[in-house]
Amino acid sequence: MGAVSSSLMEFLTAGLRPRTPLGHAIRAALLVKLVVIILMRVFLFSGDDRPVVDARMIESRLLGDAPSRLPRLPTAND
Amino acid sequence: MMDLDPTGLARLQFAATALYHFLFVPLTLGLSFLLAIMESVYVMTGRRIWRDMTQFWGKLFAINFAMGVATGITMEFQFGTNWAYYSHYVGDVFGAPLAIEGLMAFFLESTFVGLFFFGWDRMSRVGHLVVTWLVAIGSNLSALWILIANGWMQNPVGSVFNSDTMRMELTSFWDLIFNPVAQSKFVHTVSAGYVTGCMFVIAISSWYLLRGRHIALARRSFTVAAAFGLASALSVVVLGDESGYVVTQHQKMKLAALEAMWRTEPAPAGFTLFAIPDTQARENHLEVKVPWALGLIATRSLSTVLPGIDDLVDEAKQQIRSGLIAYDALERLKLSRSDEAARASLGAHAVDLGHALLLKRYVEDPRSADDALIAKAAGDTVPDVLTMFWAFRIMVGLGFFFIAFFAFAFWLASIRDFGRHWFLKLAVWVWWTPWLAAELGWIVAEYGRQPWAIAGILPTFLASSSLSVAQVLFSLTGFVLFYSTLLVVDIVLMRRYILMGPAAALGGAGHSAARPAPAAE
Repeated sequence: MGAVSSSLMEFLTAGLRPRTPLGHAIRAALLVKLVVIILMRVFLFSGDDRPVVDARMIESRLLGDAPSRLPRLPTAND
Repeated sequence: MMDLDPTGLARLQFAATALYHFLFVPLTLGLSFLLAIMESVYVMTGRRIWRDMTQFWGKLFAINFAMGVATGITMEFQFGTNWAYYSHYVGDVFGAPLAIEGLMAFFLESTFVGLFFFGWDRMSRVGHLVVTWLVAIGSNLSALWILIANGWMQNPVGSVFNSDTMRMELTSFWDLIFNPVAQSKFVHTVSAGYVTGCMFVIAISSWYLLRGRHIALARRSFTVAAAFGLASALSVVVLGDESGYVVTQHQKMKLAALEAMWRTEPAPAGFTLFAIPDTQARENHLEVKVPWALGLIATRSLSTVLPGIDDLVDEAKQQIRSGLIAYDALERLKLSRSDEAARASLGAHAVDLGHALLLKRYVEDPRSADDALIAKAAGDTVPDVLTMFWAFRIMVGLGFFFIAFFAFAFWLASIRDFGRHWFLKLAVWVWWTPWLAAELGWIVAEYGRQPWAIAGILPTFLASSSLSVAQVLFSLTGFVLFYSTLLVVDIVLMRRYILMGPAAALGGAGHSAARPAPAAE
């Protein structure tokens, strides 16, 4: 388990102290992605921008707002 | 074709991000197994070069993994931003496999990837080999959960519509997992990933062989990729055939569209090898057919009739009429939740409710639709035949090309002939073809699902959020710019480390890989 935990520890700290040029490049790419994801979280999912959909909204979307006034359609049992 | 309204743009955005994401996924799926095979040989033989090979291809795997990771998250974000109605309507069913995939990808897969790269000099040989196999199995399991979610969109089993909550609810997790569409898609998709990984390795190895660089590594890599590639290419075609058989059972319109089969033919139907489908006249020009072939492939019988597009449209009209009864019952339940007659009527016709909803595109209350509108809505159930027809044929053609390509590569490797320059050049030139085939496969699967977000349940135009064109266009532009940048970085890094070769890429560790191979090798 020592080998596993020390490997994972190095994996986790590699982001802080990359030791190779490739490590630096990967860290930069992952950091940019993290920033973009955080920005998306902030700007796309915050407050009024969040599209709220609940059962009432679905009902309104599928059936319309006004109560039905049309005559009932015949069913197979009629 | 796709309309550039908010729904069309949301579709375009999802398609763009999905197709981009799937540039990375197949290489991860394929390379991970090749790494496991190479390291297995290292553990069994103890020869250093196999470790160098695993580490070198592992480095390219790392670049691909790092650039690809999290590019799929944006699709999950889009379910919230662009597909809010979809998410609420089917989230109880669709969300479960998606959440499991997220947990698997971020905790299980990433943990093993970390152990793979940082455990080389800490863990025992066998211990590290187990980790490498778990990387391969973990990445494939991630794909399984995504394809279970996607399979449910194609064939929504194990769920019912609840009129009280106005959403689909899961009734059988077992049915969801063992959905035949999901299972056949999974094995077909991962096999396509293996082909991609093998082509990637063969192309780069061939490039090294052409330049006389890293011969020992290139020959061994070529051999492993040729053998695994041949098995994978055969699997792709065989499992693709199984996938087609399942489509015949569950998505008849998709099959008819990709065959441009306008009218029902006597069984067994012929397979159209070539044609120019005329979507206006609903007929094919310059048609070249192989008698019986489609009937045998799609139904595995001589007597089962495959319905043509026109008959399926007529069937859709009946389903719309049945769905209207369900719609009416739903309206009555809206007025009185205790209306048991309405509840019974809804139960009897709920399976066709989605078809009635197709009318919402043209009329506020579907019950007011006349025969002409019903015919129009039924016509909407036909996907874009021209796109389907050619995307499918190019994909299948590439599938057969891969079998021939890898069979020849395997034969060359088995006689240790790595000097056929024309083949090495061909391998370098066609490196991109598995990606094209995979992307076309997704186009066939998802374009062929239209006009449905969930087949037969929820039309796409009702699934999208209430957004403006400007809002979707803004995020679409952002995604395209960001993803294009990532793709450029990915290609630059890959190119740099491929040009460096194993010795330099491994920081001087790969001495044996860099040495010329002895004549006996």
